[in-house]
Amino acid sequence: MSHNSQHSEDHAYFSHPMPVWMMLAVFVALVSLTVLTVIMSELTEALMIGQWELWVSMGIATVKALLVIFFFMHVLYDKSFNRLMFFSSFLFAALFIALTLLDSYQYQDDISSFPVSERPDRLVGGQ
Amino acid sequence: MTTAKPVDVNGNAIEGHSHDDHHHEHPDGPFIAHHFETAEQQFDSGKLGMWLFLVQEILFFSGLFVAYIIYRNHNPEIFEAAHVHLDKWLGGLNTLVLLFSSLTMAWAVRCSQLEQHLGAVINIVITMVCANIFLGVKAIEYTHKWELGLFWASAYTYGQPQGDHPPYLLWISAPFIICTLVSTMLAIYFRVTASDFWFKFFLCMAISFSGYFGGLGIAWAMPSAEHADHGSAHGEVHASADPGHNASGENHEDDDHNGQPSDEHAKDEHAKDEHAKDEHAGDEHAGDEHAGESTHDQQKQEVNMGGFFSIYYIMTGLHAIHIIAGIIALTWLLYRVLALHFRKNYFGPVENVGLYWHLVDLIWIYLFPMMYLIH
Repeated sequence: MSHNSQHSEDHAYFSHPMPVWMMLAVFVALVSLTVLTVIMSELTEALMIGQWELWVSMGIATVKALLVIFFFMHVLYDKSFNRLMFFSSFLFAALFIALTLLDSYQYQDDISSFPVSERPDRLVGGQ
Repeated sequence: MTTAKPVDVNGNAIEGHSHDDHHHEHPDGPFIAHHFETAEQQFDSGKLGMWLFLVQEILFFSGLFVAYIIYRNHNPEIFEAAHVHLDKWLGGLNTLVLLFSSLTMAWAVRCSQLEQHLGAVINIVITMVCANIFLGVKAIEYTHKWELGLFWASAYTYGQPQGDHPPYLLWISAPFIICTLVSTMLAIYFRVTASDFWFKFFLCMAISFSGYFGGLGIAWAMPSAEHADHGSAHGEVHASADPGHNASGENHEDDDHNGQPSDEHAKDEHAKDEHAKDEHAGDEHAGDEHAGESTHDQQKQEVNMGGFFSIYYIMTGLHAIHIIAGIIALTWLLYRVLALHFRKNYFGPVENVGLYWHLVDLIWIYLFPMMYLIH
């Protein structure tokens, strides 16, 4: 934070306007990746990616997300503290997902082995 | 948003006297609060608060992502069966609309940083139009599913004969019709009374809301059914290649009548596949060996597909609520941009609404492949 100026007139402005070409380039990249991910889901068989399709599409989504975060959200030029805070939320989301998933696998066998005849017909809601 | 300050509706005169009736004005301008030393300090504080809010948004959305991931991990076949009801072309269109709105939002931030007021207004209006287009497409998607009985688990009636349904599309469009009409009438009123500021404001609002009807039109015009190729490498979803399923496009009348029998057939096949698949896994169908039980399996799967749609509706619905909140925030920005509030050292509100808008875009970037591109 700069306190080197009293008057906004001669203030070295703290804004960092993103160049137009950069915004347009990011947009074109985002659209291309969207088209790519749709095409890949159409051509899953031809490309023989089968079970990896999910990971490929999530990988493309992550690249798109990073483009939005770093450029549109200005994180590339933001303060390190903001950056740290924002990315830590993904860390905690990952912990949340991973630990819950691990836990749910611990008792999934018990649920699966529960005799079907003793299960209620409708598990959710009911008509 | 319009009442807090004794505002000159022409905007220009506001600088001189908006705050100095109770405090001396901050040297950095009328919108810098006196407890901040500089405009930059205020900007940084506001932005820190916005980042904290976004962190909270990610964490609460991650709860829904956890629900999705766990449900999909334990029931992958339900997602393969259910995704045929989602139109990836409409989802892809909405992705592009949101990406474009992110571009215009980023551009609006740039314009207000450079004091290009007209550019800021134009970009904010385009962003709002895109938000409304998104909601229009979503309205078509939702109402089409409701007409087929593809509800959340407790109301799921797909495959059962659908009686007369209420005019869902009219209901869901009513707020937009009202907002468009009211904005248009107010624009005309302020035109007549020569109140230039409010005329511009409501004209922009009317343009924004009309985007909703543009979205409806685009979604209607999309020839989804032809495109829908739901064939898959996986043996167990081959039933979904049945044209009855592909009718989950937008030709409403047709598949209500023609689609049902083949859907039943397809599902029956599917249920058998599930049956065969699950048997060696010793899973839930371990007990029933005979094909006569497949109606039971089918019933179960329908309930479980309702589970998929519960997740679908809560995730996309919460996202849509965020879009609506974004429209409200952008309305506020529109007012302030028209009032020429923003300048080189004061553009925090545009920047922060922009951050929020990009986060909404970010969530959709993940929702799109998770919901629409399942195989």
